[in-house]
Amino acid sequence: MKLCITADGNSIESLTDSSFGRAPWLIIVDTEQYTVVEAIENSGVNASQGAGIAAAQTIADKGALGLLTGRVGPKAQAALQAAGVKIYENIGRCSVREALEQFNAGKYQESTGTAEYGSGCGSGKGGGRGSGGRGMGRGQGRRGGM
Amino acid sequence: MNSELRPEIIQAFFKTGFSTPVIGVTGGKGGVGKTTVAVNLAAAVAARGRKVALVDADVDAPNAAILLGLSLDNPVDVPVTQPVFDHQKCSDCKLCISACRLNSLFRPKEKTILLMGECNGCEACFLVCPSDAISRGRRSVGTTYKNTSGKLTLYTGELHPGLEESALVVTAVKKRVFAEADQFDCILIDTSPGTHCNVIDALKGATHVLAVTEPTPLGAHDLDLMLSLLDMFKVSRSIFINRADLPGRMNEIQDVAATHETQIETGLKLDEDLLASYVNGVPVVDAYPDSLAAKTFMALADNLIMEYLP
Repeated sequence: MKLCITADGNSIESLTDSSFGRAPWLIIVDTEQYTVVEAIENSGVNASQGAGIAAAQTIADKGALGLLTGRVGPKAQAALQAAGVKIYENIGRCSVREALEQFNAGKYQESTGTAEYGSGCGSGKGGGRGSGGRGMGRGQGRRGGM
Repeated sequence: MNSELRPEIIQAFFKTGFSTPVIGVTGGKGGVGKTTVAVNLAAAVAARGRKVALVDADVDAPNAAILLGLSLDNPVDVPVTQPVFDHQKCSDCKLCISACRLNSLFRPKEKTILLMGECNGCEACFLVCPSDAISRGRRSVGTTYKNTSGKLTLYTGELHPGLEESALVVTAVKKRVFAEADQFDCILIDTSPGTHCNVIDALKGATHVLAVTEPTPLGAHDLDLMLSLLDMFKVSRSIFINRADLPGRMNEIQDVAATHETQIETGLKLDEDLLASYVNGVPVVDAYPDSLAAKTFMALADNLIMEYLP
């Protein structure tokens, strides 16, 4: 299936990014083939508002059936649910390839809408970092006003 | 700062459909006494037998009613347009989605558009839709109120808590009073602090502006910003100094006034009667007519009447 993984760069070796709407790249991978179907530069990175909804539109239009990222905000979550895109959170910090391997190994559970704990990928054992520890906000945020 | 505005912008700023003079009370700095001046000036004009409308355009935190001891009556809703989508008519062009600057529209599947984020009612989606698939719904963003006590009528704009559309409420309360302008001898407008869009909107149509300040470094700094704004719009203005007998920084205010070629009105000195009237929620003009503060406001009102009220 087509899965979207949020990342800092545009290749399968790029590091993952924990934000969704403001992740620099949205990587669509084929989970069976272990290949990048498409790397999309996220145009919503500097949006003043609605970056999550815009990113949800982008990956829904590309036919993604799942999203693997750090944390999904409430509006993006509602949009993804409306489009039938399954959400997997708490990605951790690793390469896109490692995240995909962990995904295929069943390490991520589908988010049900409530905050939950997850181990995430990454070096070491990775257990018990808690939800969204790396999470929220890269501080790229809003256009600076005037 | 580019201080040259196009003539048509300045013209639009002053355009009103009536001859009643409009006096803005503003000043830049917060807590400087804008509302105290506006409320007492309104009470003083009313005490001279003139019908005065006072507009509280600080819609994020309106409080003139409290200082006047008035309730908020005659509520009128301030609506904003919300798109309502007819999926039967939708041609699936997606133009509305790219037109939405807030990225609030979402298309989960063919011919289905959902409003999932904030909407400020800009109506861009209506304009781009080629299939007439979007109709106008309404959402409330605030309330305007009107209450009359003797010769003084207070108009208040109030934004609903948690919302961002304060500009729409400022415009709505202005529209309400301007539509009834012929009933008054004078309209006074109390603005929010700052020199931002909501202050500019509140001052639109002003015949004259009182810039309230105090002799402190911050008072001088923010007065400079306010006078720069008024310079851009070429607005008639004068400076009203609150707490004029605070020691120290009057020279800074005078420097700013000179730079912007603006006259300084008589200042208001620290006054226990003013404080007592403030504590009691009654204008000092009414509570202590013989006090120095009341006399200062009466003199200001008389100047205003002589200059602008026929």
